Amino acid sequence: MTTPLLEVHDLQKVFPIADGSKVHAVEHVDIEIQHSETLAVVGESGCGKSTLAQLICKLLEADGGSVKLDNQEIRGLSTSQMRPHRAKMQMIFQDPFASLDPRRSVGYSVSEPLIIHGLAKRGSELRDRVARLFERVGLMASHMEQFPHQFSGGQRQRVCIARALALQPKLVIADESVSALDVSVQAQVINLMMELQRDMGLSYLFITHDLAVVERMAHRVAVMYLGQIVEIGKRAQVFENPTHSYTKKLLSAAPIADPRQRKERLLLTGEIPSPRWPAGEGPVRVEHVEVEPGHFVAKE
Amino acid sequence: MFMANKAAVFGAGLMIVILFVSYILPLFFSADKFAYAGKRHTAPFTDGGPLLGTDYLGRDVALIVMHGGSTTLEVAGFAALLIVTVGALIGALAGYYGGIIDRTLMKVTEFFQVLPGLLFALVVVALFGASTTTIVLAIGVISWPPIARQTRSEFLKQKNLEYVKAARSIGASNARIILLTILPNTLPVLIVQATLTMGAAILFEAGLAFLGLGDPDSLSWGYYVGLNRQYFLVNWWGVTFPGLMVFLTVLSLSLIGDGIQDAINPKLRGR
Repeated sequence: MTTPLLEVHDLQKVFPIADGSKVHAVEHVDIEIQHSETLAVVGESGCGKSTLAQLICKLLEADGGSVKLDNQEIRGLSTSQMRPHRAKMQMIFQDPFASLDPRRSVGYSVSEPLIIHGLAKRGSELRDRVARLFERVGLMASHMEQFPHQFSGGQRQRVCIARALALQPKLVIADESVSALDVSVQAQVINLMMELQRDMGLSYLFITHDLAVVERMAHRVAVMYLGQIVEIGKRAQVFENPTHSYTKKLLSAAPIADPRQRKERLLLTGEIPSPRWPAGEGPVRVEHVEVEPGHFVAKE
Repeated sequence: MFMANKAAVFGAGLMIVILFVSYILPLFFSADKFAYAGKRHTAPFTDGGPLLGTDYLGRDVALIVMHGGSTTLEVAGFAALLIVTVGALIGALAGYYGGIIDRTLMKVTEFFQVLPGLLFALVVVALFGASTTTIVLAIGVISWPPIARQTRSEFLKQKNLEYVKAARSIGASNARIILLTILPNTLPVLIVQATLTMGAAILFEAGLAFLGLGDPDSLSWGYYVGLNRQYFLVNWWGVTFPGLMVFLTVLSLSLIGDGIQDAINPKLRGR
């Protein structure tokens, strides 16, 4: 087996709170992503999946563990040391209304990574490259001069995808990137992302809470609960043979369009657990068992 | 855009007139402004007398007001430039980096904010002499804290928005994010603050000069109001015309500030 594109080992992030207690947002997370593979991370709000995405692309600094991109450790690198690695890994954010600079034309936003990394000279060369990126994501080159507020949500998310592609990354981290779009636009953007994967060999780390999106896009699925991965495996393994009790409940909560197939829901009961712990205490580290090849489940 | 905003166009027109009166007209009326021009306390619009009358020494009020404009505008302009540069820089660093840098810079800001402004400026000007440089510095030193606070709060608001995270994730340096990403987004606030600051600087300069801390050779508007103050009961025009110039200049600056704010905000374009 070849070296994975991304190897995350024992990653940890703790947010201190003024009263001395701590929120264990991400605890001992191990994941790997192969080239041209999509790993979806699913879980409820507050389970730490967005924190995980930000730790990997270094918008937040992890407290422990390692992140290897293309077999090179990137945790602990400074902003300038990190710059060459940035090109290999790009992020698409959740809210296309907030993730573009409102005072810059969308063409400028897409050209900025090329300028920062010195990949194109200003002038016609830069313009041409940005125009090609616009066409690649299904926008017209004539859109370049316009401002974000003149676009719809789906078009803005296409601009964000163009910006992410500008550096020709190998890994794209999508943090709830289609959740803010309505369903028909969502489908278009997902199709675009899958097409780009086929053509450019991209890998995706797809953070979402939408199981329908996971079913459509993901090769493998990781289920996150209270900062830990409780189940990870191929999509078919997790969807057809959910083993951890939380995964079962999560899958049973997803609506099925066919009334004949409706089954009794498994509901989560009791108080909603919190990732917040008093000083000196912390969550127990879960141990994983391999229930079938490539399908790991936390022991309960 | 700017042209569609009638108040702003009026402000800009007013500013052009003020600049014309202060910089172009003096080229044509280069007579000695201190020369005797007629019987003292001649009322304005008197036949045979100067247009705006004469002051308590028989000098031409119109001539002195015309020549005083450049002094007032230059002091205010340089002071506003100094205030906005220092304030924006300190506010940006404090808001962007946070933590110990923020706390230190904000303590410094608070120190300057609690200085009694006029008193401090009086002391500085009295100690180092009433030159344009010292007056600009005195106004600058006591006026930057509000701008720094405003810039800081804007940076605190903007720095966690996704477009800033996006800039970080494409590898932008901190300097680039501060200057090219966040600062342009704080411009609407800063420009309005800058024009208001310039108005405030004009008033402050007038205040200092009124108290006698101005350059007696260049006779700024405020200084001239101060000189004519004691003859107000017999000579209302000596105080009114330079005072009116101060009022109109400050008014035109705030109208222009509003207009620029609307014009550079892409969301308001084309409305």
